[in-house]
Amino acid sequence: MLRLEGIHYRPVPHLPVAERDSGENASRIVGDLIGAEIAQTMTAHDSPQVDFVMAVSTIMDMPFVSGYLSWPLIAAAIARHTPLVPRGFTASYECAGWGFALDYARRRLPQGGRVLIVVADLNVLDISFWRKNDNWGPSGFGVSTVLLTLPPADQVALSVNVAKSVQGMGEYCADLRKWLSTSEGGRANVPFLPPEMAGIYSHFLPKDRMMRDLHGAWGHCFGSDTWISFIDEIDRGDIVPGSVHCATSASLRGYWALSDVVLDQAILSGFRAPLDAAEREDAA
Amino acid sequence: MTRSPVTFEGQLCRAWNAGKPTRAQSYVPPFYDALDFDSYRLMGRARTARAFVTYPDHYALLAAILGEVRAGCGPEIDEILINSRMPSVVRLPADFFGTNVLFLNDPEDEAVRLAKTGVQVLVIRERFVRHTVEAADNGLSLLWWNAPEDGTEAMQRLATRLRGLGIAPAAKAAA
Repeated sequence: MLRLEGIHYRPVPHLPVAERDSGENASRIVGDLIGAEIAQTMTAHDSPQVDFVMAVSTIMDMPFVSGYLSWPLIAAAIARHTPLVPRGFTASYECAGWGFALDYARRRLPQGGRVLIVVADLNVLDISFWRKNDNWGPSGFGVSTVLLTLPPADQVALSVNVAKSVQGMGEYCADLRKWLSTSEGGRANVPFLPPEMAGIYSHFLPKDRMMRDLHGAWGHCFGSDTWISFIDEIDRGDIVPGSVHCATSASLRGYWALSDVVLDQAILSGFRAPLDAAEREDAA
Repeated sequence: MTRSPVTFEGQLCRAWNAGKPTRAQSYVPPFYDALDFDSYRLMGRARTARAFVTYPDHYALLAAILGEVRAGCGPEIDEILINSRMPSVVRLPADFFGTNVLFLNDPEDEAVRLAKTGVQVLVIRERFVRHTVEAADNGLSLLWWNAPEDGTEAMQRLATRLRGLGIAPAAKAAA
């Protein structure tokens, strides 16, 4: 089973306005942010050894395809902060990206290893579509760093899926219900949705096994919803080291990931202070 | 030392399913406020080519290319990496799931990393224009590391098959 060693989330409501000066600037800003998060996460852990690093996102799409953002430039900026530069970046699997990254890690590291997943949803150029949306209500932006131990491939309880019908959320909920009925996991998180949309959860899922829907506090934070839920539950003492839970994520387009995870006895987790543009420019 | 990959360079030269009726399925990126217009102005500076595919066509074409790659290059490929170009607007076809395919931005570095460990890896890098905000030229590059002895011949046969999808070999690759 995947073992969670570290989970941190940094809210980043706005990027510095210098992101608008040029694509090179924007790439450097994004890379600096991601690099600093990786470096801070690894400083807290005893061992610097990591075998696989991957970055995923939901919302960072058009800036890349238009050529404004460049992954090689972002990677170069990350490298100034840490040797743990992600070996790739993908937004193709949307909010379920971390699951597909872990699935790939399982395929390429069949013997297992230590894995760092970065979930980065930074609203480059402050696009209004991503700030708030009829599909999920208000959004939250930021960076999660998730440090895990990946066991040998045959011991990874991870499922990544694509919906067959137009009812992707319904298929995800039905799959999660089935998963929970056979899993040893205690509690499962759900994507953050506003109350008027979250009815699907109470319809399908066992209430006593669900983590809170934190949409009211955080908005929808895409692939980071999962990790915000886990940090919140650890902070409240609702889940404790050594216990097993189910990490999930589902995307608007119908991709989802389910994975049992055990919380390491020495797990480090927490929310980092929001990094807003104004503060960053003061500090500069 | 890893051998150079077997490569194909091509160009999409016509609309997907040319001559057949198709739903328009046009998609306009969401512009809502003045800042959005400025953002799209900033993003839309790169040169682009004529669009031959809509967003849904794009995935249908990509699935057809994946099918030809699998048929033409054999089942021995360990990993297929495709450059990620979001947004997608529509769901990825099922062909891309439950198998050895991963979408990544700029996947060549990862391909080289895998190739050095003996993995047979094929990169599909496509640059099919869907919207003029994109920096794209309708090109298609295939790069096949650790290909078998008859890899070059297999790639030539694949090139012939890709013509049926409207993709012509680029002049340089034919030399």
